[in-house]
Amino acid sequence: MDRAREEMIVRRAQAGDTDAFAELVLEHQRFVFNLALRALSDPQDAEDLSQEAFIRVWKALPRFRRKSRFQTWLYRIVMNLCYNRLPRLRKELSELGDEVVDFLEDSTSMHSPVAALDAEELRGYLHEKIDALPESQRLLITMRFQKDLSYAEISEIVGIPLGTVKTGIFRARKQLLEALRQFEEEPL
Amino acid sequence: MSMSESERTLLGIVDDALQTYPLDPAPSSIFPAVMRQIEIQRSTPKFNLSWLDYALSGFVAGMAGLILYFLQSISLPPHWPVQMQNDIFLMGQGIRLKLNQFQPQLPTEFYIVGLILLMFGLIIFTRKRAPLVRVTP
Repeated sequence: MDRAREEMIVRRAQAGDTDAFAELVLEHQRFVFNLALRALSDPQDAEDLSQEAFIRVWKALPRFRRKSRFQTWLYRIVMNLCYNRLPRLRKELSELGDEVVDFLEDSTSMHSPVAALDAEELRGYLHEKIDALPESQRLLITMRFQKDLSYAEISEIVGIPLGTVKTGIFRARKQLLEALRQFEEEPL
Repeated sequence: MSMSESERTLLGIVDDALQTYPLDPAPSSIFPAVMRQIEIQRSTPKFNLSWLDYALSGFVAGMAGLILYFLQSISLPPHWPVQMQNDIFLMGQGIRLKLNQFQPQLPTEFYIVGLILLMFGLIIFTRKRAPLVRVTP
Protein backbone atom coordinates (compact mmCIF):
# COMPACT_ATOMS: atom_id res chain seq x y z
CA MET A 1 0.00 0.00 0.00
CA ASP A 2 1.53 3.31 -1.02
CA ARG A 3 1.75 6.22 1.38
CA ALA A 4 -0.90 8.44 -0.25
CA ARG A 5 -3.45 5.63 -0.32
CA GLU A 6 -2.67 4.72 3.27
CA GLU A 7 -3.20 8.32 4.36
CA MET A 8 -6.55 8.40 2.60
CA ILE A 9 -7.63 5.16 4.25
CA VAL A 10 -6.45 6.38 7.65
CA ARG A 11 -8.53 9.56 7.25
CA ARG A 12 -11.60 7.47 6.44
CA ALA A 13 -10.96 5.21 9.40
CA GLN A 14 -10.56 8.27 11.64
CA ALA A 15 -14.01 9.37 10.51
CA GLY A 16 -15.39 6.05 11.79
CA ASP A 17 -15.35 4.04 8.56
CA THR A 18 -14.93 0.41 9.68
CA ASP A 19 -14.34 -0.81 6.13
CA ALA A 20 -11.34 1.48 5.90
CA PHE A 21 -10.09 0.23 9.24
CA ALA A 22 -10.57 -3.35 8.04
CA GLU A 23 -8.23 -2.56 5.14
CA LEU A 24 -5.61 -1.30 7.57
CA VAL A 25 -5.93 -4.43 9.70
CA LEU A 26 -5.58 -6.68 6.67
CA GLU A 27 -2.58 -4.71 5.47
CA HIS A 28 -0.67 -4.71 8.74
CA GLN A 29 -1.82 -7.79 10.65
CA ARG A 30 0.96 -10.04 9.37
CA PHE A 31 3.78 -7.73 10.37
CA VAL A 32 2.14 -6.80 13.66
CA PHE A 33 1.80 -10.48 14.51
CA ASN A 34 5.42 -11.17 13.56
CA LEU A 35 6.66 -8.21 15.56
CA ALA A 36 4.82 -9.52 18.61
CA LEU A 37 6.04 -13.04 17.90
CA ARG A 38 9.68 -11.92 17.69
CA ALA A 39 9.29 -10.13 21.01
CA LEU A 40 7.22 -12.65 22.96
CA SER A 41 8.28 -15.92 21.27
CA ASP A 42 4.82 -17.36 21.87
CA PRO A 43 2.28 -17.56 19.01
CA GLN A 44 -0.77 -17.42 21.28
CA ASP A 45 0.52 -14.41 23.21
CA ALA A 46 1.48 -12.76 19.92
CA GLU A 47 -2.02 -13.31 18.56
CA ASP A 48 -3.68 -11.87 21.68
CA LEU A 49 -1.35 -8.90 21.64
CA SER A 50 -2.02 -8.25 17.95
CA GLN A 51 -5.77 -8.15 18.56
CA GLU A 52 -5.33 -5.87 21.54
CA ALA A 53 -3.07 -3.57 19.52
CA PHE A 54 -5.61 -3.15 16.72
CA ILE A 55 -8.45 -2.49 19.15
CA ARG A 56 -6.32 0.14 20.90
CA VAL A 57 -5.50 1.68 17.56
CA TRP A 58 -9.19 1.89 16.68
CA LYS A 59 -9.96 3.64 19.97
CA ALA A 60 -7.01 6.02 19.67
CA LEU A 61 -7.44 6.70 15.96
CA PRO A 62 -9.38 9.97 16.42
CA ARG A 63 -6.39 11.30 18.37
CA PHE A 64 -3.81 10.28 15.73
CA ARG A 65 -2.40 13.56 14.37
CA ARG A 66 -0.61 12.04 11.35
CA LYS A 67 2.73 13.57 12.36
CA SER A 68 4.35 10.22 11.62
CA ARG A 69 3.32 7.44 9.28
CA PHE A 70 0.42 5.31 10.40
CA GLN A 71 2.56 2.16 10.42
CA THR A 72 5.13 3.84 12.68
CA TRP A 73 2.39 4.80 15.11
CA LEU A 74 0.83 1.32 14.95
CA TYR A 75 4.12 -0.48 15.52
CA ARG A 76 4.91 1.82 18.44
CA ILE A 77 1.63 0.77 20.07
CA VAL A 78 2.58 -2.87 19.46
CA MET A 79 5.99 -2.29 21.03
CA ASN A 80 4.48 -0.59 24.08
CA LEU A 81 2.20 -3.58 24.59
CA CYS A 82 5.22 -5.87 24.23
CA TYR A 83 7.05 -3.86 26.89
CA ASN A 84 4.05 -4.16 29.20
CA ARG A 85 4.09 -7.92 28.87
CA LEU A 86 7.86 -8.31 28.82
CA PRO A 87 9.47 -5.49 30.81
CA ARG A 88 12.97 -6.97 30.41
CA LEU A 89 12.75 -6.37 26.64
CA ARG A 90 13.01 -2.60 27.01
CA LYS A 91 15.98 -3.07 29.33
CA GLU A 92 17.70 -5.41 26.88
CA LEU A 93 17.20 -2.99 24.01
CA SER A 94 18.52 -0.05 26.04
CA GLU A 95 21.53 -2.09 27.09
CA LEU A 96 22.62 -2.61 23.48
CA GLY A 97 24.59 0.61 23.91
CA ASP A 98 25.43 3.08 21.19
CA GLU A 99 29.04 2.46 20.31
CA VAL A 100 30.09 3.92 16.97
CA VAL A 101 29.63 1.35 14.25
CA ASP A 102 30.38 2.08 10.64
CA PHE A 103 32.30 -0.72 9.08
CA LEU A 104 29.56 -3.05 7.93
CA GLU A 105 28.45 -1.51 4.70
CA ASP A 106 24.97 -2.18 3.48
CA SER A 107 25.05 -5.01 1.03
CA THR A 108 21.96 -6.24 -0.69
CA SER A 109 23.18 -8.80 -3.17
CA MET A 110 25.49 -11.74 -3.28
CA HIS A 111 28.53 -11.11 -5.43
CA SER A 112 29.95 -14.59 -5.76
CA PRO A 113 28.46 -17.14 -8.14
CA VAL A 114 29.65 -19.86 -5.76
CA ALA A 115 27.67 -18.20 -2.98
CA ALA A 116 24.65 -18.04 -5.24
CA LEU A 117 24.89 -21.77 -5.89
CA ASP A 118 24.95 -22.50 -2.18
CA ALA A 119 22.39 -19.84 -1.43
CA GLU A 120 19.59 -22.09 -0.22
CA GLU A 121 21.80 -24.05 2.12
CA LEU A 122 23.41 -20.91 3.49
CA ARG A 123 20.08 -19.18 3.89
CA GLY A 124 18.70 -22.12 5.83
CA TYR A 125 21.74 -22.16 8.06
CA LEU A 126 21.63 -18.41 8.67
CA HIS A 127 17.89 -18.43 9.30
CA GLU A 128 18.54 -20.89 12.09
CA LYS A 129 21.16 -18.52 13.46
CA ILE A 130 18.70 -15.62 13.24
CA ASP A 131 16.18 -17.67 15.23
CA ALA A 132 18.83 -18.04 17.92
CA LEU A 133 19.53 -14.29 18.21
CA PRO A 134 18.30 -12.46 21.34
CA GLU A 135 14.74 -11.06 21.05
CA SER A 136 16.01 -7.49 21.06
CA GLN A 137 18.21 -8.04 18.01
CA ARG A 138 15.60 -10.13 16.20
CA LEU A 139 13.10 -7.32 16.65
CA LEU A 140 15.44 -4.76 15.18
CA ILE A 141 16.44 -6.82 12.17
CA THR A 142 12.82 -7.75 11.51
CA MET A 143 11.94 -4.07 11.25
CA ARG A 144 15.03 -3.22 9.24
CA PHE A 145 15.11 -6.11 6.78
CA GLN A 146 11.56 -7.45 6.60
CA LYS A 147 9.78 -4.10 6.57
CA ASP A 148 12.61 -1.96 5.22
CA LEU A 149 12.10 0.65 7.92
CA SER A 150 14.74 3.34 8.33
CA TYR A 151 16.92 3.48 11.43
CA ALA A 152 15.10 6.66 12.47
CA GLU A 153 11.70 4.99 12.17
CA ILE A 154 12.89 1.98 14.14
CA SER A 155 14.27 4.31 16.81
CA GLU A 156 10.86 6.04 17.06
CA ILE A 157 8.96 2.75 17.19
CA VAL A 158 11.16 1.07 19.76
CA GLY A 159 11.76 4.21 21.78
CA ILE A 160 15.54 3.91 21.97
CA PRO A 161 18.25 6.23 20.57
CA LEU A 162 19.23 5.99 16.93
CA GLY A 163 22.76 4.91 17.86
CA THR A 164 21.41 2.02 19.89
CA VAL A 165 19.33 0.82 16.95
CA LYS A 166 22.41 0.90 14.71
CA THR A 167 24.45 -0.94 17.30
CA GLY A 168 21.82 -3.65 17.71
CA ILE A 169 21.57 -4.25 13.97
CA PHE A 170 25.34 -4.12 13.59
CA ARG A 171 25.80 -6.73 16.31
CA ALA A 172 23.22 -9.03 14.77
CA ARG A 173 24.90 -8.82 11.34
CA LYS A 174 28.34 -9.29 12.87
CA GLN A 175 27.16 -12.34 14.79
CA LEU A 176 25.72 -13.82 11.62
CA LEU A 177 28.88 -13.00 9.71
CA GLU A 178 30.95 -14.88 12.27
CA ALA A 179 28.55 -17.81 12.11
CA LEU A 180 28.94 -17.83 8.34
CA ARG A 181 32.74 -17.83 8.59
CA GLN A 182 32.58 -20.79 10.95
CA PHE A 183 30.25 -22.56 8.54
CA GLU A 184 32.66 -22.02 5.65
CA GLU A 185 35.63 -23.20 7.70
CA GLU A 186 33.92 -26.42 8.75
CA PRO A 187 35.36 -29.48 6.96
CA LEU A 188 32.93 -31.07 4.52
CA MET B 1 37.14 0.53 7.44
CA SER B 2 37.21 -0.83 3.90
CA MET B 3 36.15 -4.42 3.34
CA SER B 4 37.83 -7.07 1.29
CA GLU B 5 35.99 -8.71 -1.59
CA SER B 6 35.49 -11.94 0.38
CA GLU B 7 34.15 -9.99 3.38
CA ARG B 8 31.76 -8.16 1.09
CA THR B 9 30.57 -11.46 -0.34
CA LEU B 10 29.97 -12.92 3.09
CA LEU B 11 28.11 -9.83 4.17
CA GLY B 12 26.02 -10.08 1.02
CA ILE B 13 25.04 -13.60 2.02
CA VAL B 14 24.18 -12.45 5.54
CA ASP B 15 22.03 -9.61 4.26
CA ASP B 16 20.34 -11.92 1.79
CA ALA B 17 19.50 -14.26 4.66
CA LEU B 18 18.18 -11.34 6.70
CA GLN B 19 15.98 -10.16 3.85
CA THR B 20 14.65 -13.63 3.10
CA TYR B 21 14.07 -14.54 6.75
CA PRO B 22 10.44 -15.65 6.48
CA LEU B 23 7.58 -13.93 8.24
CA ASP B 24 4.99 -16.25 9.75
CA PRO B 25 1.48 -15.94 8.33
CA ALA B 26 -0.95 -13.98 10.50
CA PRO B 27 -3.44 -16.25 12.30
CA SER B 28 -6.79 -16.16 10.56
CA SER B 29 -8.55 -15.31 13.81
CA ILE B 30 -7.01 -11.85 14.25
CA PHE B 31 -9.03 -10.02 11.62
CA PRO B 32 -12.54 -11.33 12.51
CA ALA B 33 -11.85 -10.97 16.24
CA VAL B 34 -10.77 -7.34 15.86
CA MET B 35 -13.68 -6.40 13.61
CA ARG B 36 -16.20 -8.13 15.88
CA GLN B 37 -14.85 -6.25 18.89
CA ILE B 38 -15.03 -2.95 17.04
CA GLU B 39 -18.62 -3.59 15.97
CA ILE B 40 -19.58 -4.35 19.58
CA GLN B 41 -17.97 -1.10 20.72
CA ARG B 42 -19.64 0.92 17.99
CA SER B 43 -23.11 -0.43 18.72
CA THR B 44 -22.91 -0.21 22.51
CA PRO B 45 -23.64 3.16 24.06
CA LYS B 46 -21.55 4.28 27.02
CA PHE B 47 -24.42 3.43 29.38
CA ASN B 48 -26.96 0.84 28.42
CA LEU B 49 -30.20 2.34 29.76
CA SER B 50 -33.59 0.75 29.18
CA TRP B 51 -36.86 2.71 29.07
CA LEU B 52 -37.58 1.49 32.59
CA ASP B 53 -34.48 3.30 33.86
CA TYR B 54 -35.95 6.53 32.55
CA ALA B 55 -39.37 5.66 34.01
CA LEU B 56 -37.85 4.95 37.42
CA SER B 57 -35.87 8.16 37.28
CA GLY B 58 -39.12 10.01 36.53
CA PHE B 59 -40.83 8.24 39.40
CA VAL B 60 -38.11 9.15 41.88
CA ALA B 61 -38.17 12.74 40.71
CA GLY B 62 -41.98 12.75 40.91
CA MET B 63 -41.87 11.42 44.46
CA ALA B 64 -39.37 14.04 45.49
CA GLY B 65 -41.61 16.70 43.99
CA LEU B 66 -44.64 15.25 45.74
CA ILE B 67 -42.90 15.23 49.10
CA LEU B 68 -41.95 18.83 48.56
CA TYR B 69 -45.47 19.67 47.51
CA PHE B 70 -47.09 18.23 50.63
CA LEU B 71 -44.39 19.41 52.95
CA GLN B 72 -45.78 22.90 52.89
CA SER B 73 -48.94 21.65 54.64
CA ILE B 74 -47.02 20.03 57.51
CA SER B 75 -46.48 22.18 60.53
CA LEU B 76 -42.88 21.77 61.46
CA PRO B 77 -41.80 21.64 65.10
CA PRO B 78 -41.24 25.10 66.54
CA HIS B 79 -37.56 24.56 67.14
CA TRP B 80 -36.88 24.24 63.35
CA PRO B 81 -35.38 27.31 61.83
CA VAL B 82 -38.14 29.62 60.78
CA GLN B 83 -36.32 30.59 57.65
CA MET B 84 -36.23 26.98 56.37
CA GLN B 85 -39.91 26.53 57.11
CA ASN B 86 -40.77 29.67 55.23
CA ASP B 87 -38.59 28.69 52.29
CA ILE B 88 -40.16 25.24 51.98
CA PHE B 89 -43.62 26.74 52.26
CA LEU B 90 -42.88 29.27 49.55
CA MET B 91 -41.36 26.62 47.30
CA GLY B 92 -44.40 24.42 47.70
CA GLN B 93 -46.69 27.35 46.89
CA GLY B 94 -44.64 28.08 43.81
CA ILE B 95 -44.92 24.50 42.55
CA ARG B 96 -48.68 24.44 43.20
CA LEU B 97 -49.08 27.71 41.37
CA LYS B 98 -47.19 26.44 38.36
CA LEU B 99 -49.15 23.18 38.23
CA ASN B 100 -52.44 25.08 38.49
CA GLN B 101 -51.38 27.26 35.58
CA PHE B 102 -51.05 24.15 33.41
CA GLN B 103 -54.41 22.60 34.41
CA PRO B 104 -56.58 25.18 36.11
CA GLN B 105 -59.76 23.10 35.63
CA LEU B 106 -58.68 19.95 37.53
CA PRO B 107 -57.06 19.48 40.91
CA THR B 108 -53.32 18.93 40.52
CA GLU B 109 -53.39 16.22 43.14
CA PHE B 110 -55.28 13.89 40.81
CA TYR B 111 -52.48 14.05 38.31
CA ILE B 112 -49.87 13.31 40.91
CA VAL B 113 -51.76 10.34 42.32
CA GLY B 114 -52.34 9.05 38.76
CA LEU B 115 -48.64 9.38 38.04
CA ILE B 116 -47.72 7.41 41.14
CA LEU B 117 -50.21 4.66 40.29
CA LEU B 118 -48.84 4.49 36.75
CA MET B 119 -45.28 4.15 37.99
CA PHE B 120 -46.23 1.40 40.43
CA GLY B 121 -48.09 -0.39 37.65
CA LEU B 122 -45.07 -0.18 35.39
CA ILE B 123 -42.76 -1.56 38.04
CA ILE B 124 -45.06 -4.40 39.01
CA PHE B 125 -46.19 -5.56 35.57
CA THR B 126 -43.05 -5.17 33.50
CA ARG B 127 -40.54 -7.96 32.97
CA LYS B 128 -37.18 -8.15 34.68
CA ARG B 129 -34.67 -5.74 33.21
CA ALA B 130 -31.07 -6.44 32.30
CA PRO B 131 -28.42 -5.10 34.68
CA LEU B 132 -26.89 -1.75 33.90
CA VAL B 133 -23.85 -2.32 31.73
CA ARG B 134 -20.91 0.01 32.10
CA VAL B 135 -18.78 -0.06 28.97
CA THR B 136 -15.21 0.81 29.72
CA PRO B 137 -13.71 3.14 27.11
